[in-house]
Parts: sequence; C-alpha cells; structure tokens
Amino acid sequence: MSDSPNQAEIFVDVEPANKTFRIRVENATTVADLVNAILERCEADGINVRRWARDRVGRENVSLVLMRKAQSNAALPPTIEFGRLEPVVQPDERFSLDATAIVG
Amino acid sequence: MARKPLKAAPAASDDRQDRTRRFLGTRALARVERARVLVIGVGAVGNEVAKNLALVGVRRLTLVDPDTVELSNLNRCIFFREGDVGRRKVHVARRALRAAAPATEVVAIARPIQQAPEEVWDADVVALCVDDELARYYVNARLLGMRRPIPVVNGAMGRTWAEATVLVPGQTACLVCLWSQEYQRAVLGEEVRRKCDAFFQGARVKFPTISVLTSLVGAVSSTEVVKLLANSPEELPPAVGKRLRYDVRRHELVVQEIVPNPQCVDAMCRRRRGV
Repeated sequence: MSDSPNQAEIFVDVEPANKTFRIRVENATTVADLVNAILERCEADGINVRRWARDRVGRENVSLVLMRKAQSNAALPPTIEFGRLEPVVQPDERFSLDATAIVG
Repeated sequence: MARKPLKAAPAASDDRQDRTRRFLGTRALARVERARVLVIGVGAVGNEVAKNLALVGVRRLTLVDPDTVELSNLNRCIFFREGDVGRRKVHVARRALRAAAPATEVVAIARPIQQAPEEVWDADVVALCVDDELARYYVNARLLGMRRPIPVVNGAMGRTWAEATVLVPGQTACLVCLWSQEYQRAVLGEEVRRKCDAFFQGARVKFPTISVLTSLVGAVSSTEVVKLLANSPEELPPAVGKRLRYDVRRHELVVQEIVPNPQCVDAMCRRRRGV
C-alpha cells in the first residue's frame, strides 16, 4: 500500500454516524476487521449501525458491505485483505459502509 | 407470363411484436422468444419481471413460489385482485399472463424452490425475486453445481432503493460472495428457528414498500434478463458481475462491481473459479 509498504490511511463514510472515519489499515487487515472496528467505535459513541442497516433492508440479519468508492463503488468481500486489493489502495482513498438489500 | 401477385407485408398494427422487433432486431427477438426463464418468487417483483418478460416475447416461463395471495400484497402486485386472496400466487400469475401474452407458455410450480422438480433448472436465465436469504443460498448452490453456467439476475430493494445484481456463479462472484461466515450462520440459524418454533412462522417483520420501488426492481431486473437473452453485447451489454442500484431519494444510479471472494463461504464457488 502507498503510505508505507505495509499500511495506509483511508477514509470511510459511515452514514448512520454522519461521520467520515480516518482509519489506518495494514496489509493483513481484512475488510471484516475494518467493519467490526467501525461497529465497535460507533457503538462506543451510542450509534447502532446494525439497527440502521435493519431499518434500511427490513431484515433482522443484515449483511454489511464495504464499498470502494474510487473503484466504481466495488463491493468488497469480507475476507479480503487490504494488501490484496487491486489496484493498490491509495493514501486517503475513500470507502463507505453499506448494507445489502434482501427483500425481493 | 402471369405475374405472381405481391404478398403484402403485415402492417405494423397487425404485428404484436412490431415495437419489440424494432428495438431488439429480428434475430435478437428470435433468441428471446426461444429462451426459457425460471422466475423464482412471484411476489411484487416476480409479478413485474414475469409481466415484462412475457410482453417482450419470452415464450417459456417457469414460475416457482409456494405462497398464497394476501390482501396486503395488493398495494404493489399488478396481477393480484381481491378475489385472488388465498389462491396460489403462481396460479393467479399464470392466468393473468395467459391473458396478457397468449404466446407465452407458463409453468406454475406452487412449491418452495428447494422442492421444485429438476426440470425447472433447464433454463437460460434465472430471475431471482425472493425475500429469503436461504432460498438465495440454495439457488446459488444449485447454479454452482451446474455443468453449464446459468446467469442469475437477483432483484431486491432497500428502504429507498431498487437494485439488481447480474452474476454467473462459477465465473463471476456468486450470490453469497459478500457474505461473512457470521452472516451465513445467522441465515441458517434463522431458518432452523423458524422450522422449530411455530412462533416464528409468519413472524417476519413486514417491510415498508410501495409499488414504485417494486416496479423499479422489476424493470431493472427484467432489462438485464432481456439483455442476457438477446445476446447482442455491443448494442445491449448486460451488467455481468455488477449490481445496479437506483436510489429514489436523490435519483442516483450507482453501478457497483461485485468483487469475487477468494474465501467465499460456498466451497464450490472457490473451486469453480480455481481459487
């Protein structure tokens, strides 16, 4: 990654918190690690991201997804590591947290 | 020598598919007419998809849904009327499709997709219109097990948006590539709870929605099905591997790539993609 060989700082838009988080990720950090860290941080601030997602998709179980905004909002799978993303993650690159629709 | 009388071409007004033929072209329309589409879920989105596909000219539709019509379906389902309450959705939809598009042969299967006969999978495209993740999980596994990859168009809606995802499981990301193991466990666990405890039968929270959103999901989904069937990639390229999301709040359309998961929860997905 571009900040240093092993890490980069990125921005993540989190709509329910009405905030953009600046987060340092390492090569081995997975998308799920990052999402869980955001959930914990929001919970500490009294914001329940899962409840927000439930309201948006209408189901008790929700699948949260990280979108890579600079790459046409690519939806990233949870187990992928930031160091394996193609193209390489750029410093200050923007991402956003989203929920997958279920009801058809 | 007596001249043969000229045979008049049918007037545009005599040709039911005149506008479709002008839009798709004769060859692409023929491909659409020959195709077989499996529509899983015949609620509001399934109504729209089946209607659009039949009107475009798909001659062979298989509808699969075990549910019956409820009064609360009528705010958004084009085929259902008050007199249909209590009847099987697939049977009501078949009757309406016969009236709207008599050339379309409709097979109605009033069972969950997990119990549908094997023949339903003889399809060129699957249109997935369910509100049940377990059904998606099952359909995905079936598609991954097919020798011939079958594209699937998955329609769904959020509180303020409509979306359709176009995938070819085994070649692109699959329907569960974005699932975490935790989410997979939750989906399977919810199903076990519903089967074991009568309280959970029908206890699922009802999602607030209006016909506008379900029409949008149906329109985007059926457009992608038609593109796949028409097979005119230069004129009408299908959004394979992508999710199309239209949000009505600010009228935003976002095209998202679905990145395949190297550690997908479905082992067959990993195997088929050689991961």
